[in-house]
Formats: sequence, structure tokens, C-alpha cells
Amino acid sequence: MKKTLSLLLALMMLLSLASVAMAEEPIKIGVVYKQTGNPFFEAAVRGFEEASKELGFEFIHNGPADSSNEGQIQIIEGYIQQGVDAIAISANDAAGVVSVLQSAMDQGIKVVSWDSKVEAEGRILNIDPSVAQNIGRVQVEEIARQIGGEGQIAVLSAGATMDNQNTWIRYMQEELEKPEYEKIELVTIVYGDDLTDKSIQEMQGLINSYPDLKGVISPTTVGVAAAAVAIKDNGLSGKIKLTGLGLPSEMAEYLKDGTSEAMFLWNPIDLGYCAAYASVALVKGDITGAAGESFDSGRLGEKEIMDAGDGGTFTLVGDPFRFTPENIDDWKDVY
Amino acid sequence: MERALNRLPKWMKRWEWILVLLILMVYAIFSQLQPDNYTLPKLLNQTRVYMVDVGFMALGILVVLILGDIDISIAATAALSATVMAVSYNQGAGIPFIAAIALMLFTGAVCGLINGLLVTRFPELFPMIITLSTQTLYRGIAYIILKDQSAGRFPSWFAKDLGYGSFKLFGLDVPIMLVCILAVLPIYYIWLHKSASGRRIFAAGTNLTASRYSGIRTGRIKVMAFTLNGIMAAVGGFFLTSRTGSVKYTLATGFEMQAIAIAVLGGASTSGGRGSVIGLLLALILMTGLKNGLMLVYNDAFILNLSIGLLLILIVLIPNLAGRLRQQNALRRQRLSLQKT
Repeated sequence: MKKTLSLLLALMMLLSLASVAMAEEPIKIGVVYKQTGNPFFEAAVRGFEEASKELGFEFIHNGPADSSNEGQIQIIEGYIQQGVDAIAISANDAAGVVSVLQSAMDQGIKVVSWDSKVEAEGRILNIDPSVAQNIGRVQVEEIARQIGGEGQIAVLSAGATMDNQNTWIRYMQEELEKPEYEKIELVTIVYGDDLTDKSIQEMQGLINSYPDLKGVISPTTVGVAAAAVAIKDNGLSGKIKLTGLGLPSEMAEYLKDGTSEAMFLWNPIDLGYCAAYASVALVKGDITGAAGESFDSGRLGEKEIMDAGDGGTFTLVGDPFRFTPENIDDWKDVY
Repeated sequence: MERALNRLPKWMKRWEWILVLLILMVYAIFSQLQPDNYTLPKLLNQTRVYMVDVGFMALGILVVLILGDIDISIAATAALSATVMAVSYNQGAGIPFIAAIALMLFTGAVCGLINGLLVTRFPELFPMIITLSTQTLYRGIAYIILKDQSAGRFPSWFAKDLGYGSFKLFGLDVPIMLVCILAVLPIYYIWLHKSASGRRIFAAGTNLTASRYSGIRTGRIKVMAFTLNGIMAAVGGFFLTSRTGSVKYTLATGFEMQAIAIAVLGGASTSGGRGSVIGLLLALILMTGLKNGLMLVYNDAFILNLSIGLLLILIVLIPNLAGRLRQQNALRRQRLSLQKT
């Protein structure tokens, strides 16, 4: 037993010695997303593909089957083993991948987070889809346009304890302070907890309580779809206007029948595309990821790196993408 | 019966040889497919991903399996213990980290003890059903403590040095974690295969009633095995947390199946009386080589799970089919000799 074991080890050693490192290779990026089989991330990967055709880098992409932190670590360790030059990750747990990404950075690998950020100690740069302020602003602009700049509006949110929702709504209220919106009255904010049935009930409640209601903003994908169902069931399509953050696949029907004239979500393809350009710029040494630098991001133009306020830096891809009945066919099968 | 028992150790030896053969095969295949990445130094580094946390859990469950029981709450135990460690270190009184570790081990022991008491006090219930319930209970408590948040901010010696540290040995980077499990394996080997108490465990697993009549306190042995299993699950969770650096209530989801698979692959039987520490180590090495290889070649989580599942079925079936074939041959020979006379 012992003899064969040592023989075995010796054999393994010999085999491993036989493998010699290859010569100069193109830049290789390892992309990690939250889970496999999610249309949002499949679209983001298309952004990486587009960028790789323009810049000539190689990339591999993978996500755990179960949205777990452990699964992402396993994938990252595999990427380190393969000697990637950069890792671009949308993290399941902002704190949970910090250690493994630090060990990657110790080995000279550049780490970029996108979509869902990694804590500052575990990344070089974060690619945010859009600033919270913009997300709030565009929805107010849109509902004002749809209702003709005057009347009662309401907000159908997700959870009262959700920080992103609260931040966006705070910016919406700030935007509504502006003189051009003085004829618009935000009557109430209701919470559907991102549950479809509860969101529909809350929307029904709004319809009953505010007969003069002209418009609804729902900055959550579950809420905006539920609101569309309730408005349509009451035969109020076109009478109560609707906008918010929605998935094109879920909202296509309601955009086409006029329940909503337009709604928003960030473009995952652009997000992946920008993350790819940032990764390559970091690997090539064009940027170090410090605030004040900027890098070329192909068709998205020059991107500026800013202080994220969490001890790290970030850059923005752009404004939320506006979906209308005219362009929804291009997107409804995308994500 | 006696002949069957005599044949058992031989079979075990053969099984370990099959594992060695499989390890060599897996290594040969993947080092051909991925000559740059599938090298011994890099594989040694990967042991921390595939061998350590699951290895500790597998060692714990091995003893339970030898006794003929099963515990599927080990991953939940790991999650709850790690949650207790993270929360007691970070929040409230903010106790020293060593005390938090002690609390974690204690939590694991209590979880295991509850399982053991339930299994021995209610023999009419299947251990599978009991531990299925405690599994949801333990993870539920972890959820109540943490909700959807994660807790972390551990000392750097834990999250960095233990989790990702290694030392040089003959020019190779050996993960510190790997040494930890390699140090525990011989203790388990001596205890299970070389000591009187180990023999009692095998005896109780082979025939519970006979063991009880010959004076072995089987109930106590079982409670002890479950408690130890809980502690080992907590240790597994400890090492997993050192890699993640943060704890969520979903920690280690699915690890119970991986740990049981490793123990069974190493030669343990779910009907009790069989199990091997050396087999377990070989099964760990085989799984590390296989999973890492599949990860490199396919880079797809679904294909990885699918191939591992397929291989497990095959590997568990091989000895079964071989046994059945042998039985059929023996029957045929018997019938032939009967016809002749």
C-alpha cells in the first residue's frame, strides 16, 4: 500500500513537471454572475461578447446553479487556477467573496464588480448600472410626461425596509420639489413587499381610494407588473398611467395595449460591455481604478471613475434604459 | 455468516484499490485535457475548496453511517454553528473570537446531541425523518438570528491566514487547512479501526440486538456518535466560514449530500457495519480531482452536478452489481451440480 502510494505520488509529480507554461497569450477575463440560467445575466454575457470582438480578449463565464456564495468562491478559485488576468463579478454576497478576491488580487488579478457590488476591500472598481438619483429622476420625468404635467400620482414600492427602494423614492420626492412639477401631487406611497398578490391588492386599494389618480410609479419589477394587471382588470388602461422599473419580458403585453407608455430598467448588455472595457483597461495598466481616472468604453464613450463613498471607487454605465411599445419587441425575448 | 464476515475486509481492500485506480484514471484524463492548469501544485491549492470542510463533515457522518443511522442535518448544523460564532463575535457583548469558536463547537454539539437523543429515544421513527425535521429547525433558527443579512468581519488570521494561507514544503504551496484535516484523519483511523471502542461501533452497526445482548451500550454509543457528528459539522462550517469570510443562513446548503456521498464512496454502507477512514480519504482525493477537472473542462455548474451524480450512481452500483453477478453465478453452479447428481 505504502509502496504504491509513493509510486503514485512520484508518477503524479512527473506528469505535472511535463506541463510547461505556454507563451504569450491574449488577455483572459473570468466572468462570474449570480446564477446560471438567469436571462438578465445571459444578456450581460452578450455585452462581454460584443466587447471581446472589439478588443480581442478571451473570456469565460459561469455562475453557481444555486445562487450561493460558496458556489461563486469555487468558480473564482477555478479562475485563479486557470490564470485569468481579470475577474468581473456580480456578487451574491458583497462581503462573502472579499477574502477570495483579495487572494486573487495578491496574485495580480484585477477585480471588477458589476451589477451587484463587492465590498471595497475586495474589488478595484465597481460598475454601477446607474446612480440612484437618475433612477428616481427619470421615473418622475416619465410619469409627468404621461399625465401631462398635472394631477395626482402614487408610488407602489416593494418593502418599507428596502434601502434601494427608499433611496429611489427619496430622490423622486426631491425631483418633485422642482417648480415644473408643482401641479403634480404625490398622494401616497404603498408597499407590496414584492409579492404579486399583495401588490395587486395595494394597487386595487389605490384605485378605490383615489378616484382622481392619474399615474402610478412602481420602482420594482414585481410591483410594476402587478399594477399593470390591476389597472387592466379595472378597465382603466390609459386612464391611470403607469411607469416604473420592469422586466421587458413581463411588461411587453402591457406596453403594447397602452397600460404603460414606457418603463425603465438598466440595460444588462451595456453593463457587461462596460465591465469588459474596464477589466481590459485595468489589465493593460491604462487605469489603476483610482477616483478621477477615466477609460474608453467603446460605443458607450469615455467613463469617469468616481469615489463610491464606501472606501472604493465606481463608474456608471448610464441612465436606465427606456422601454416603449416601439422598441419592446427587441427586448421582450432578451430578459 | 462467518464466511461473509471474513470476506468483508478483503472486499474493503479491493474497494480501496478501485478508488486508487479511479484517482489515477481521473488524473490521467484531466492532465491530458488541461495540461497547463491540472497540475499537482495547482491541485494541491484546490484541496482547500473541495477537501477540507466537506472532509470534516464526512468524518462525522462516517461514524453515524457505520452505526446504521443517517444524519442529513449536518449542513444546517454547520450553518447554525457558524451563525452563532459570527453573531456572538460581532454583535452584542462582542466576546473574544476564541470564546466565539467555543460557542460554535458547543452549538454543534447540542445540535448533534438533540439528533442523537431523538434517534435513540424514538427508535420507531426513521433517523432520516428526524434529521430532516431538525435540519429545517436548525436552518430556521439561523434565519431568525440573521434574517437575509450576512455577518462577517472576522479577525484577519481567520479569514485570511487560515482561509487562504499556505506554507512551502518541498517547493509546493500546502494550504494550512489541508494540514488540519490530514492531522485529524489518523486520529479517526486509530479510533475506528484500531481501538476497542471502534470495534464496538462496528459491532453495533453490524448487529444492534446482538451487540446489546453482549453488553455494549448501544444507545450511549449512538448519542455520542451523533454529538461528535454535530461537532464535526460545526468544524466543517468553521473552515468553510474561513473561506467565505461571512455567514448567511444559507451557508453550506447541500453539503450534507456531498459529505454522505464521500463517506459512501469511501466504502461506508448506509445499512451499517461498514466504513473506512482510508477509503474516505481516497474518496476525498478522487472527488477533488474529478470536480476540479470537470470545473476546468466544462466550466458549467449544471454539467458539474450532473456528471458527479452520474458517477456516484455508477460507483455505488459497481460493487452491488458485482455482488449480484457473483450470487447469480453461484446459484447457477449450484443448479448445475444439482442437475448432474
